[in-house]
Amino acid sequence: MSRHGTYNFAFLDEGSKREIRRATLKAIAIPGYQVPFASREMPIARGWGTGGLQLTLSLIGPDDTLKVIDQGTDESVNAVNIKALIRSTTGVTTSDDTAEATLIQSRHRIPDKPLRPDQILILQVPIPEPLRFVEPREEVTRRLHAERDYTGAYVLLFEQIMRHGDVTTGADHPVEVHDRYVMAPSPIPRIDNPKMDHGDALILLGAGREKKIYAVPPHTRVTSLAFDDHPFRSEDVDGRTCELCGAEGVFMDEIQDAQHGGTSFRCNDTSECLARMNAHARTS
Amino acid sequence: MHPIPADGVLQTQRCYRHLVDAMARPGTLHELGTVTGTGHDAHGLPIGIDVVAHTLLDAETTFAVHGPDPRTVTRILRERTNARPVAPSEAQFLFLLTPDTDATRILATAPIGTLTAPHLGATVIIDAQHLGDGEPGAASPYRHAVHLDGPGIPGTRTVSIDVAFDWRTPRSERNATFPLGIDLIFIDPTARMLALPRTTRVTDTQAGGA
Amino acid sequence: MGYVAVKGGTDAIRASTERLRYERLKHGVSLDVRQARAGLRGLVDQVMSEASLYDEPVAAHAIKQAEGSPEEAVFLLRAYRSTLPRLHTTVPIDGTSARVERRISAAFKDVPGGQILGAGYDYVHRLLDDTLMHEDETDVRAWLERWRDASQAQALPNDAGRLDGLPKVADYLRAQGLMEPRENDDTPPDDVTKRALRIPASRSERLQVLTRGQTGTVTSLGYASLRGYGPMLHPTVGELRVAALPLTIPNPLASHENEAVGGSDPTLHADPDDGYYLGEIRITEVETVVPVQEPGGEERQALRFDLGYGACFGQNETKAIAMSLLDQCLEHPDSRHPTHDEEFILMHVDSVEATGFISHLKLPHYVTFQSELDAVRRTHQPDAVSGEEDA
Repeated sequence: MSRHGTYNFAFLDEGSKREIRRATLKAIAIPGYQVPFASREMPIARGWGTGGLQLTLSLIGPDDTLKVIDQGTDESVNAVNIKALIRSTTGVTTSDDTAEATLIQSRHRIPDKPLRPDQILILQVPIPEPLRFVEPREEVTRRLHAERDYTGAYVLLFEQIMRHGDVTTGADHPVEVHDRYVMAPSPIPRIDNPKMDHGDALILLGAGREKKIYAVPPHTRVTSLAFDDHPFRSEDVDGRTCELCGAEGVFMDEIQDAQHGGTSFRCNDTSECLARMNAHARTS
Repeated sequence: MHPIPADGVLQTQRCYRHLVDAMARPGTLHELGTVTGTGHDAHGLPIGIDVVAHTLLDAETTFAVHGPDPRTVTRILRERTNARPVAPSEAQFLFLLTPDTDATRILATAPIGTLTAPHLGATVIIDAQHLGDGEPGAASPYRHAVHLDGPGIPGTRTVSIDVAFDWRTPRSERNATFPLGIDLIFIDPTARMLALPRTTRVTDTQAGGA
Repeated sequence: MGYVAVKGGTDAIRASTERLRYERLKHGVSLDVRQARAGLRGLVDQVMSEASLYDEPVAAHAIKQAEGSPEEAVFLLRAYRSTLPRLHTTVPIDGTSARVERRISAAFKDVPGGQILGAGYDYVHRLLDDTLMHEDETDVRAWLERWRDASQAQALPNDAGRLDGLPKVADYLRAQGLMEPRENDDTPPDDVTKRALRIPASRSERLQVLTRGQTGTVTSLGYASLRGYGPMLHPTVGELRVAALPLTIPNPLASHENEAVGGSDPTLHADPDDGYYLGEIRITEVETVVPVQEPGGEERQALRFDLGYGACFGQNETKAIAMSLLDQCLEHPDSRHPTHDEEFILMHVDSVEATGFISHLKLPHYVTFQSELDAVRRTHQPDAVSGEEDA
């Protein structure tokens, strides 16, 4: 054993795991509420998914199959890096196939394939506070959540409508959970917000730098903030077809065609795209 | 070469996964016995409760015990986990191991957190006589079939929770103003576990109930 | 033949790691960790302080691996610290028990125990010394021999040259009634590495966050407070010490008397004579005095002195002084001024957090950007700006 020792299974010492586990259980009991936890420094930088990573490390066991994606793809450098760290500290099997995974850690997407009850989705969160853009002070936002004072969030949306004729949030459009807490769903595109509503899988969200864990249990009401006369709208994916697998109606990456100067689209969820391509290949 | 988990590490990880699923899907039954074995340890503490304590308690937490031999159990838990014994009305983790009117009274004063810190509401671990899926069975004065609904439950779920003291009334009062409240974990002698977070609504299987 | 994912990321990372190693080795030299420890004392002290891990060899190792980048070295050390089991907590230490190596006061011309200049950069001229380009081990040995001979010849009689037990300048001010006497508060401090910092912060949290803060950041913010970003403090360095601090833990084998409510914190009931001495660490400790108005508003309000405290692992004088200034600033919160705004200061001084979040901007953000593209495009659609005609 070197001086720097052998790391514990899943890197974290048991004390750190217990802290994260306690916070997680309370987060599940209070849907949408940000539970503070003593985030540990990880070998990966703050802002690069340490919150999600700590959640995964506190959950994972030798029998799990792990999928890690970033921007919808398993091969993104960040996803590869995180997977390598978890594999080297656990020996766990990893997979690109959403259906095979029991734990899915993701930055900025919910997979297109509906999740099952035996799966847990872990989302990486940069800024867990949905009111942060209205109020920079943590002391104040804590009180606003306590008093259920979300006028700031609605005013922000209202101002966007007044100024631009429509809501202009991109990703990370705030949601209301279990008719109580307004929550930042993490920078997932709006098209993914409805997947949080009455899903079959537990969703956990971790912000390492801001030191918060929160959760959306399965079968829980999640609605995106909107006004009656300006209902919530996802990104417009009409008329877009994936040039690889032919899918429609899913979130796509916009590709600038260097050769022909136009625009083409490809599925953002690369493993589902691959699965469709292989399914076509088998039936054709 | 990756680290191989020591037995204790694996056991707490598996127990934790059951706890996560039990809290996320209230009323589902979890066989902790597959992780922990069943029965009691040398001091008479049910093994399921012992392993849950070991999974969640450490030097950063506080706890209180109401049971047949509270001083001994408190000492054992403190020595094994380094958790700090405090008065029940201040405890993060409350162990109710004896079903009597004192248990009802203690539950009625369990910490419920504050509006700015609702997560400080207590986790209460209750030694139950029997946990089941609400099936009609041998008549027992304490067999209590209830309907559950709320987050984590598609529609409603029916379970039977056999506990020989009134936990419904104090739980209902403690959880009257969400997000404040307490979260319950029941464990029966076969190390079967069921959890009721504060969000779960509990109603009687006949009309009425609280 | 099935379609498989293009495995570009893994290969790219491997190549990048190799490239990084090349940068460290391209001059054909591998930095000797012992040399780093011996010759880079300033950097070692800085990273130990920012990492809040006192271990000079490990710090030197991190410095080597990080090629001297304080940001990377602190990251390595913090991640390493994260994995270490926390076995014991020291008994609270009386600062006067330290053995000073350097001790000055700007408040008085002379102080009991004397102004001891010690080793510091304040008295040297910042001129590049050519002889260092050719200094070798023979030169070093010869110089050290001369130094030792000279030290022995000058050995001072016991009383005159005592370097431990020196009284604090602040105690003189307290004895004169010019500074409020304080009861020792030995409540176990909050630990920001075990429980997340909450605003408003306790003083122990505040001091911990500041001592772990990035040296440059703490320095600049302290500087801003001097330049008037906030009500002027008029601080004076009452005392600056660079000292060897002895560390003791309570006897780990003593029986626990803590059956009842009240907790199992062994340091509270520790017998001071029954501790285990661990060793010494070098710290920098600064007490800054600031005139403030005495509470109890009558017409003519008297002034008294209040104390700002700064302490760091290693010799980090600028940081410790700046820390003491910020401690005083935050003792008088005022959200109008950034240097008196607790959340602004404490949330932004941490090296690992600041550098991590800034560097995260390099991560792909094309999904969020695609979402923004959609939002922007929508505002250009005719039906989106329906309100305009009525304006």
